[in-house]
Amino acid sequence: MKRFIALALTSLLLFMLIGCSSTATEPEEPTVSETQEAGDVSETAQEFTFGGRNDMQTLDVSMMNEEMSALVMYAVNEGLIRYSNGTVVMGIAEDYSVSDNGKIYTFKLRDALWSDGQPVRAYDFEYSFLRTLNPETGSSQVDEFDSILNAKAYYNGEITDPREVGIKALDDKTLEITLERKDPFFILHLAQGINFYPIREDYVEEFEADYGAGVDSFIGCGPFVLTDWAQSSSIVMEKNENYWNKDSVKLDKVTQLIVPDENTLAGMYDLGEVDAIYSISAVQTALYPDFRSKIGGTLQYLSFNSRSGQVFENMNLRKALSYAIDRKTILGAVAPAGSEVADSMIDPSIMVDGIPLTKTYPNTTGIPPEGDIENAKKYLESAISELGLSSVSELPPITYVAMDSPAHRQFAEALQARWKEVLEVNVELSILPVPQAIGALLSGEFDIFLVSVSTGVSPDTLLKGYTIGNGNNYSGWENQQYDEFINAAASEEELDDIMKALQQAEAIILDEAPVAPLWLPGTAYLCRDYVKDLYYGRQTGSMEFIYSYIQK
Amino acid sequence: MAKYIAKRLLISLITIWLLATITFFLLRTLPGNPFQSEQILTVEMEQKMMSYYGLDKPLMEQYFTYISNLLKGDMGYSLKYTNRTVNSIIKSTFPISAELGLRALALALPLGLFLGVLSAKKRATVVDYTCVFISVLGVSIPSFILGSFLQYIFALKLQILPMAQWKSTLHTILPTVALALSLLATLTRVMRASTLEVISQDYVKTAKAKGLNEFEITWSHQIRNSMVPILTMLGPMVASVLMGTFVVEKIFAIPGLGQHFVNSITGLDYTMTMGLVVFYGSFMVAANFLVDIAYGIVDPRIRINK
Amino acid sequence: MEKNNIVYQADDFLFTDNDEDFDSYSGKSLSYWSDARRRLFKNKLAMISLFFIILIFILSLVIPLISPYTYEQQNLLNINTPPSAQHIFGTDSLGRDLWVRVWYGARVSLAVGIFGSIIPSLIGVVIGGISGYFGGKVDMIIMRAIDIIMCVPSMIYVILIMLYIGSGPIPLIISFALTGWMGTARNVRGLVLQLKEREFVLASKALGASSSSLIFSHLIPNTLGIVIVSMTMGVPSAIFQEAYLSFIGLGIAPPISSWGQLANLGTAVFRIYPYQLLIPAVMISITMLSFNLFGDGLRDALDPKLRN
Repeated sequence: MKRFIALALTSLLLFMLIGCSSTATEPEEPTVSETQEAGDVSETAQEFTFGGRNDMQTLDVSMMNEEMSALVMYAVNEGLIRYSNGTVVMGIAEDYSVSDNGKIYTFKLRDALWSDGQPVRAYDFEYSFLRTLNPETGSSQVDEFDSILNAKAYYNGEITDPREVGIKALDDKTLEITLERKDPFFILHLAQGINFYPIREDYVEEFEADYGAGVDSFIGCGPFVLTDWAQSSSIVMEKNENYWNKDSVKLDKVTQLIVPDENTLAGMYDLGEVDAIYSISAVQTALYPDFRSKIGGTLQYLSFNSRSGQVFENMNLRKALSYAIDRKTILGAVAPAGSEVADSMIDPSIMVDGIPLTKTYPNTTGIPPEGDIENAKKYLESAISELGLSSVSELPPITYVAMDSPAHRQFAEALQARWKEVLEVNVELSILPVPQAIGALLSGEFDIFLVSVSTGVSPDTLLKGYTIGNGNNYSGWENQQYDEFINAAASEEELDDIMKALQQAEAIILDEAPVAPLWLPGTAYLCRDYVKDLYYGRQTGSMEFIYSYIQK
Repeated sequence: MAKYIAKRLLISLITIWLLATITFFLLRTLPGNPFQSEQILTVEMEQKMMSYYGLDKPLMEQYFTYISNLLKGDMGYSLKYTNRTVNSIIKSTFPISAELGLRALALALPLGLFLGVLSAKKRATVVDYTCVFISVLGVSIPSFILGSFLQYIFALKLQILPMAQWKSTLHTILPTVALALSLLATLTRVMRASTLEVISQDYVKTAKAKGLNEFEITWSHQIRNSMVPILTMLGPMVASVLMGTFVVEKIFAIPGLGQHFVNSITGLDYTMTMGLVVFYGSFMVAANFLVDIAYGIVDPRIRINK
Repeated sequence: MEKNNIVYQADDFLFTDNDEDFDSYSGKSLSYWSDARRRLFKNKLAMISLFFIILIFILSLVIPLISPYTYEQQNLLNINTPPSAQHIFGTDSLGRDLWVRVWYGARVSLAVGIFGSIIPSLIGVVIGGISGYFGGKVDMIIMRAIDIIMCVPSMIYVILIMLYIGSGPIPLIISFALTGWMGTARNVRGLVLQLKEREFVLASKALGASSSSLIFSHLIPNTLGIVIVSMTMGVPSAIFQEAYLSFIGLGIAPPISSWGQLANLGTAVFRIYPYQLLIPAVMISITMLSFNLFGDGLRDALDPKLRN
């Protein structure tokens, strides 16, 4: 034991030394001597242990709705296609073809096996997708299925016959998916969505409501097999000998330790008990100059309650607050390095042919990252006079509702201080547990709310929510013209037409400022250098270790 | 006595039923929706989920369903850990919390009583001040600081004990100490105070006058009589310690019950919260029942069932 | 039960004339009070503690007034700096001056700690006294009610109070008052059960003393030792309870600081910026030590049986 600790310590020291000299945030560059590596790989134990703060909640493919389940599912199961290291690669499907009108996708499945040796059939996918959409399953994860023919109608109970849904297993090896209309982002949806995995019907029938509650009541067909799940403690995955591409899988065993406390987790990393930490907070990065970070997939913006009768019905007041924010400094102080200031409602990491859509179809709020105090004051003055007040102090009380996470709290405190300092506007903070905070957001019982959302796969994810009466229009903002552009974008089929309409809609929402884009927060994580080929996907919840290996 | 016990059992059942009822309705007055997490669901989706779980039915109907299921021992499915029953979560996490709690009590109880008596007997001496100092530190350093501190020294710097997780006996040492210290501090303080109270009582003076030796007086008169406050405290203390401690479990990554007490309420997991409250309540009622009986044994003059 | 509406007064607690002991001191002319004061003043440790308590009170009032910084003023370009001449205790993760925040936080924490511990204790003493003295059905009902109230997670009450009354020190103290009295009540009840069978109580009863005078002048004063100890121990737990509630968004709204919150935030970064944890932790410990030692001194001074 002692020798092991000593060994671990020396290697730890060595790696810290190496780690310091290399550029930290860049992904590992491939080494030159490929053959040399192969020799080493066989000598080191191919076991990878990482720490995360939360346990996964379920293994039920249809019910999964959080990142830790998604992370494990990515390793122990496999969909038709996979999103790997930023690109779409084939999974259980060998190949797919698209009909001329762009509506029918035909997937050809390869000879893959479930981890118990049974063949994976097209029906397993059909069964899974229809089960998720079946209103009796109780899944909340149906948005990704949006573009599939009749999917939403079936979920909403408008049709009852699942055969009318555009998902069909033509034979054991062929799956046909019919779309409502052409969707340039469908393949990306399929690759990045977390609920597009196959399900074995016999497992669901055998375990019924307990399906996916533990190791025995779940089966997958991915690179790894789930061998142990000690709830709230650890998850163990071992190499799947029945996986079709098992030769590319080098790790024999992957363990996730669930350690809720960040200091504890960091300590375990220092001691070498874990090789990587799924995510660490910005403040911890001060201790680990070799931390890595990834960005993309999440946008944080302020929603101003713009409903009539609310103080933020006044556009100039919204703009005043938005212009006053020094996004750059707040981000630098509170968020991990690698986070970026945002000035639009489309995630710049959404790319087509390697070019960000925000570059091809630009839009901006026009607010510099450091804020624009002069304009902020001008807007405030107009707002004060429009509201018929004589000074800032007469503004009605403004409540900023925040969720109780440390990061949200710090953002809130920093914004509150900034507005007071620059504009002398007093904002009251009301920090609430998540369900109550979101309750306040949805019922319009707030003035300002920091919304943190996944930007999804397609560029319209956030924008389409702000139409009149939409459930995602948290600001309660209404603009007829905006709705027209969004509807136009929804009816177009070619990317260029969609984007042009979206661009016009975005210009309106940025100008009227019912929302104030703040930043694209990065996620900092730690990983020892001896873990090679470990990637973070664009979406949260996709630490990709399936093709990683250990080289000490 | 048998009649008293039968009566108490009946009353205990009524207590638990009242507890379940009050909690059920209080919980439902909390605003917010249990299906919201950091990924925001729309109102329509909220409604769908509510109706899927039958949470949109009239509250009284839900209440009767819940109580009738509870009578069958079925506490339902957790709203957050989909596919897992509350029974199964309690079954897998309670033994861990209970083990940690028992270890801590086994350490803190004898030591706390001993230090309390010692401190009272040596009142206003260095021994007393040391005990007071230790116990005050124990009370005023909360376990989240103490736990982190212990980890830092023993796991990170000296590397003689594991940092976290619940795998072997070695893993239990740090969390046990972290939990025991605050218990120890409380027990010491209360035992000291109540021994001081007893020391000056007449019968102790009488016993001294009769020429009984110090040891006999301490054991047969003082400790026995100063046990009442300790007993009172022990009931709820044992019940709550066995149920797990959120902070210690969090810092040491122990998969116990304590985390669920907090997370289920802040996450509005109705069924989970209800299950935990009923489970905890049964323990608490039983513990207090035992305490009332123990009162009579320690001090025969106390008559509760009169 | 009809005696339930007694208004409880502070000296009901403090005036403990135990007839049984009184004759042995009858020769002295000192009154109970001046005697207690004399004994308290003679207790060096208690006096030093009192000095510290007063010092902390004064500093918490004065420092925020004379400091060049305010407790909410941020400087995001100067975050997490260690203690220096400009910032005696350094700055926090938003660049706020910790020296001011610690002393401003002292106001909140002391208020919440002291009232959040005294008020529930007082409620507990009264209810426990009644329960123990009357026994039987009254006792059974009160004790079972306590069982229930203890088992309903206090966080439910707290969330409700915060949502309907708002957040801040006063709602916080109210929620402590509602959820914190049961321990003391059980303690006092246990002791009263024991005491009421004692000779001096039986004697007073035989002489026709009323229930209220028995409870308040004989039974409760004899439980004071335990109550004072649990009260002084309640102070830190109230302070940390506040911190904990603030952390899940239910305590005192930012930017107001409190010791518990500072310690809580400090814990998150203690491996990186240890001073952010050490400073509030040391402050809390010193204060608690002072309170406890003073509480002990007070207990001894007020205890007629320990006079010699």
